[in-house]
Amino acid sequence: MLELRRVTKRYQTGGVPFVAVRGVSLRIDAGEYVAIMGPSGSGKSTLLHLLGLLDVPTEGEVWLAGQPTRHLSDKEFARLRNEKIGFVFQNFQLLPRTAAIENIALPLLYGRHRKARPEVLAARALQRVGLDLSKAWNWPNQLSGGQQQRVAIARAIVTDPEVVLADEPTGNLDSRSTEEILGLFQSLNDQGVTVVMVTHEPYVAQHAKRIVQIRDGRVERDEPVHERVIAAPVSAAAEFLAHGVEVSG
Amino acid sequence: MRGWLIRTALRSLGSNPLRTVLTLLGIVIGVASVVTLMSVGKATASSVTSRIQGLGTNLLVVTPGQAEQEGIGEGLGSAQTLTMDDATALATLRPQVAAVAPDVITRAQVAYGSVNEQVVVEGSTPDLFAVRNLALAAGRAFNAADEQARGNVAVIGTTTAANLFGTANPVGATIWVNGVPFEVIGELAVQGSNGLTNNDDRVIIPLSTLQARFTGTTPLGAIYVSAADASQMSQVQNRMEAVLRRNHGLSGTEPDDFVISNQASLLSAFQGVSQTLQAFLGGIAGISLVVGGIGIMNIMLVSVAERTREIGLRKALGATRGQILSQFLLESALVGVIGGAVGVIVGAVLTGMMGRWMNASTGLDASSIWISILVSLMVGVGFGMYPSFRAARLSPIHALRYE
Repeated sequence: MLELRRVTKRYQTGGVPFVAVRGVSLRIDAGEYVAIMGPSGSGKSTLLHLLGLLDVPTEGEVWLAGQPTRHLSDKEFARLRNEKIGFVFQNFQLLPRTAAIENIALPLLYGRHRKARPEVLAARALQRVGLDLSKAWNWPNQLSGGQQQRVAIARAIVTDPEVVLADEPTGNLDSRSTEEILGLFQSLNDQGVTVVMVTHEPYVAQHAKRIVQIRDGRVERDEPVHERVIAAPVSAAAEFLAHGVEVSG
Repeated sequence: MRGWLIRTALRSLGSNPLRTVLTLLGIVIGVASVVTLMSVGKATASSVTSRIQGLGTNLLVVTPGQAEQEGIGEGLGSAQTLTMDDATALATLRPQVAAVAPDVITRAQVAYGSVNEQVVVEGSTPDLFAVRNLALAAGRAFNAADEQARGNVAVIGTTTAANLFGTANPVGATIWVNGVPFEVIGELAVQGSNGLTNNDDRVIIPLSTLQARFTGTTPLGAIYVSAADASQMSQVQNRMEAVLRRNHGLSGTEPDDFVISNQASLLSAFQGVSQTLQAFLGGIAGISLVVGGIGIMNIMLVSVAERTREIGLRKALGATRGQILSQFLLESALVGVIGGAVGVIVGAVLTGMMGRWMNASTGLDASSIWISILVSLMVGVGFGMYPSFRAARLSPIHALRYE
C-alpha cells in the first residue's frame, strides 16, 4: 500500500552535503502496525516525511496505493496528504485559540469530503479517540497533554485516511498518557487503520506488530514483534472516570 | 464553506489586536485624508462653479487689457482703455446684445449714524441688475430716470446693510457716501463670496452720479454685456471684438487692448485650476495610503514568519499552495477593507466638520465611498501579495521543524 523503492535523500545543510536516507526499500501493507526505530539522526524522521509525501526523495520512488508519486503536482501531493494520510506529531501541532473540534475539522476544510458535514465528521472522530463531547469547544491549552494528542489523532483520522503516520507521538507525554495513546493506536489498528510510528523508545515500539530498525540511513533490521505489549483499551467511560473531576467549566 | 476562511483570518487578526489596530491605522489615515480632501475640494469647486453659473449663461465681460511700459506687462486690467464710448458702441449691436452695463468701482467712506466704513462703491447703469442677475431682497433698483437725473440713490448689499443698520430696515434711510447724502432705495439679495471678495459688502449707485460726485470721467473698470441668445455667444463676442478694435483704432496686427471673457471661459479656467489642485491634494493623500500599504506588507511578513509552523501543519494536512496563498491574501485584504471602511467613516466626519467650518455644503457621494473601499482593498491585496507568496512557497517539513 505504501512503498519506498531504493529511496535516497540528500540534504545540503549550510553547504555540507548530508545523506539522511541511503537506498531504502520498504513496503508497508494495509492493516500493518509498524514502528520505525533508531537513534536520533539515523534518518527515521526523514523516512516518515518521505512516506507521508511531505518531502520528495533525491533518488528512488515512493509508491502510494499502487501509484508512483514522482511526477505529481503540488496540488496532487496536497490532495494525497489530505485524503490518504493522517499525521500525528510529537508536539501535537494544534492551532492555538482554536477549539478542539475546529482543530479536528481542519483537514476537511482543505479537501472535498462530501460524506457529511465537517462538524458531524469531527464530532465522530472526537468520540472515536475516546474524548467526551464536552471537551469539543475547549482550546488546546485547556486540555491535558494526553487529551491534546488525542485531538491530534482525531484530526489525523477525520478524513478516514489509509495510513496514520506518527512522529514520536508519545515523546512529550507522561507514562500514563503514553499508555492511553498507545492503546488508542492499537484500537485504531484493530479497526483496520494502518499505523506507522517513529519512536526511539523500545518499550513504545514493542506495541507495534513490526519493528524497522534504522541506522545511518539504512534499514538495519526489519522483523515482526514476537512478544507484543498490549496497551489497556481506552473507552470514553474510563476517560471520564479518570478525568471527570477536572472537567473545567 | 467559505465562512471558515474569513473566520480564520479574523481570528488571526484578533490574536494580536494592538498590532492589527496599528496596521489598520495606516490605511484609515490614508483613506480618511483622501476622502476628506477630495470631497472638500469637490464642494469648493461646485460652490464656485455654481456662483460663476449664477452670473448668467449669456454674460460677457469686457475688461481692460494689459498696459505695457517699456515692454514690460503690468498685468491684466492695468490698461485704462475702456470708455463710455465703447459701451455706447457695444449697445449698437442690439438686438444681438440685450443689455450693456458700463461699470466703475471705487472705494468710499460710507456712514450711517455713528457707523463709518470703507465700502466698495460701484457705479453702473440700471441694466446692471438685469445683466448680472442681481436680485433685490427689498426696495427697488434705480432706473433710467435716476440715472439721467444723477440721483443720489443707492442699492446696498446685505453685509453693508447689516453693518450699517443692524437688523433695522435700510430702505428709505439716508446714508452718507464721502459726505454726500444718498437715499437707500433697495437692498440686494445675498450674493455670496467668490472666495476673494465679499459681493455682499458694496453700495451700487448710478454711474452718472458716481462720475459727477466722486470720480469725474474715468475709464471704465468693466463693461458687462448680456447676449440676447446664449447659443450665439461666440458670434456676439466676435462682433464685440470688431466693434471695440475699430473704436480703439487698432490696426490689423496690433493685439487687443481689452479682454472679453464669458462664463464658459471663466468656468473652464477655474475648473482647470481646481482639477489640478484636487489631483495634487489627492496625490499627497494617496502617498499616505501607500505608506499604509507598506505597513500591511511589513506586518504580514512578520505574521508569516511567526506562523511558519502553522503553515507547515496546514500543508501537511492537505492545504495546497493556492489555499495558503488565499488565506494570507484574505487576511491582508480584510485589513485593507476594514481600514478603508473606517477611513471612509472618519473621512465623512472630518468632511462634515470642514463643511461646517467653511460654511459650505460638503458631502460624500456613494461613488467616492465605493472607490475608497475598492482602492484600500487593492492596497491590501497588492501589499499582501508578496508575503502570501512567501507563505505559500514554504516547504512543509522545513516549516514544521521551524522553531
